[in-house]
Amino acid sequence: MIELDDRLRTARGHARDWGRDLRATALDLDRDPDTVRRCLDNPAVRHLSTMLIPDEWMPDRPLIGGYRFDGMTAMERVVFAEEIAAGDAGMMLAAPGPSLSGVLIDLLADREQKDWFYGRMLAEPTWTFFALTEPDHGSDAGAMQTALEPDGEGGLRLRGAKRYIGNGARASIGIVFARDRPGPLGATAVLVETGSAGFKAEPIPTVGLRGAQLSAILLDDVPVPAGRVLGRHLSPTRRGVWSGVQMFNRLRPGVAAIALGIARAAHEYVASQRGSLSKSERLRWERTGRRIDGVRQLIWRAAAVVDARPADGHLASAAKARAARLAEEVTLEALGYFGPGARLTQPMLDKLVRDARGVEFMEGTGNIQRLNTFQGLVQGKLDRG
Amino acid sequence: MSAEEARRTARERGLTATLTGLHGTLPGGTLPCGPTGCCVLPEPMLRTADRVWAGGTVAVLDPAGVERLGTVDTPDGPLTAVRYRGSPGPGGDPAPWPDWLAQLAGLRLGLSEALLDATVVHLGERRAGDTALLLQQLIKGALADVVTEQLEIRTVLTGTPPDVETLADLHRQITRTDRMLLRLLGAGGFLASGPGAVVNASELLADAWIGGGEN
Repeated sequence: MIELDDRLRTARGHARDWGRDLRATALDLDRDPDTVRRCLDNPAVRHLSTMLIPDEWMPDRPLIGGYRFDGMTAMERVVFAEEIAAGDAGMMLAAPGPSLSGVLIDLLADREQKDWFYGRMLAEPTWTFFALTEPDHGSDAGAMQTALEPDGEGGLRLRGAKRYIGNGARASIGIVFARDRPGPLGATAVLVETGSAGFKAEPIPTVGLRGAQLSAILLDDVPVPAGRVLGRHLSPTRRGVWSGVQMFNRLRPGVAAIALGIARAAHEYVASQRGSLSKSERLRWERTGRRIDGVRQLIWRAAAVVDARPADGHLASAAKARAARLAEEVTLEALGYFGPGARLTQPMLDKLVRDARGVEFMEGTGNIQRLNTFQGLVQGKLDRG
Repeated sequence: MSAEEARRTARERGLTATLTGLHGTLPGGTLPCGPTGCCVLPEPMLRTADRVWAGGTVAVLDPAGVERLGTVDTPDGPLTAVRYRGSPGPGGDPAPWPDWLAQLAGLRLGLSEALLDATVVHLGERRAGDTALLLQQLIKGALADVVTEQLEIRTVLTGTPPDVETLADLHRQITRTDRMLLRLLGAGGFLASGPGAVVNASELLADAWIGGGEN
C-alpha cells in the first residue's frame, strides 16, 4: 500500500480539521450558494483560494504545519480534496481561486498573463470559471462551435454558448475554449473578464453540489484583447486540444478525490449518527471502509503517475470512474443503515446522496473514462508489467 | 517469494509453477492449511510435507490426519485438495498467515492479469458482423472495469503490507474480477480445458484460506 510522506500526512491532518468545520455550513450552502461569501475566512476556503498559485507569485504563503503547499502537484491536490470534500464537497467547488483555470494557466500562460491572472487572485477572493462544455455536444472539443474571430481592429471577439460551467455566474474572470479555425487544431483558450460587454451567465439549478453553482454562459461578441489568448507563444498543437488533455489529466485525480471524500463522509455519517451497529452491520460497515481505502490507493497511484507523466491520464480515468461509482454506492448503502425515510429525516445524508451523483459528470462521465481506460489497456499505458 | 514476485511468476508461468514456488519458500516441507484444515497444493508438495499449519499454529504433521478431498484440474495437471484433521499440538509458532494470504493474492492476481491478456487477444480475433468484439463499446467498458479492479488490487498489495481483513477482501475482489472476464469469454470460459478451469482452481485456493462467500 502507498503511504504518504510526513509533509502530506501533515497536510491531511490539517485539511481533515478544516473539513470537519465545513460541515456546519454544508446544508446552508446547499440551500443558498451565496453562503460561500460569508465563509471566506474558513481555512479550507482560504487555502483553496490560493491553491495553484505558484510560490513565485506568493512568496509569503502561510505555512501549514511547517510546510508550504501551493497545490501544483496532483498528489498534493488529492490529499486536500478528499479531506475538504469529506467536510463539504459543495464548498470544495464553491471556493474562489484559480481552481480548474489554474492548471491551464500553469500550462499555457506566458509571464505577462500569469502576472495578470495571479495578481487578480491575490488582490481579493476571486472566483474563476473554465468553459469548455457546450449545449448539445458536451465536452467534445471536435464539435465545439463557440467561435473566436478577429474583430478587425487587432483584437478578437467570442461568440457562442457554454453550459454546466462551475462558478460561471459568480466569477470575475475565466477561461473559454473556442474555435479559431476549422479542424482538430482549431481550439484555443482565451482569458475572459465577465464584466466585458456581451458576457452573460446564469445559474442552472442542480440536484446536488449546489455550491458549485453550475451556470449557462452566453457569449455575444465578447471582446477579447489579443494579449489574452493563452499559449500565443506556443504552436497551435500545444495550445489547443493538447493543453485540454493535459489539463484534464492533471485534474482528474482531484475529481476522484472529491468523490472519495463524499463516500467517506457518508461512511463516517453512519458511524456517528446510527449509534450501535449489529454484528453483521458492523462487518458490512468495516468492509465498506476497506473499499474506500482501496480506491484511495488507486487515486494516489493515479496522481503520482500524472505528476510524473502528465500526458499519461489513463490511470487517472480509471480512478475517476471507480471513485465516482464508489461515491454513489456508499452513499446509497449508507441510507440502508437508517431504514425507510432516511433521505427525508437525515438531511446531511440526503445531501451526500445528491452530491455523489454530480461527480459522475465532472471531467468526463464514467463511460468516457472507461473508454479512456480501455485505450490505456490496449496501448500498454497502464503500467501493468 | 514476495506477493509481487508471485504475481509476475503466475502471469508468466501459470498456477502450478507459482504455487510450487510458494511452497518452496516455506520452511522444510509444510502443509499450509487454512482455518478449517483445508489446503490445495501440488501433489509432490504433499508427499514431502512433515509439518502443518493446524489451528493457526505450526505443528508436526501426522500423516494419518491428512484426508484427501479430491483433485482440482488445471491446464498444467491436477492439484491435490486435502483437509488436515490432526491436532494442533501445544506451543507451536503462529502460522505466517498474512504473508501467505498476500502471496496467494499475488498469485491469483497474476493469473487474473494473464486471463485479461488472453481475453483481449480472443476478443480482438472474434467478430460480430464486421466489427471485432474488442471494439464494441460494451466490451471496452467491461475490460476497463476489469483492469481498474486489477490496478487497484495491485496498488493495495504493493508496498506496505495490508492487514488480514484487507487481504481477504482482495481475494474476493479478484474472484469478482475473474468472473467479469469469464462473462466476456462466453461458453468458452465454462470449459474444463480452458481459462475457466484456471479461474476455478484460483477460486478454490481462496476458498481454502478465506472462504468463498462475501462475508
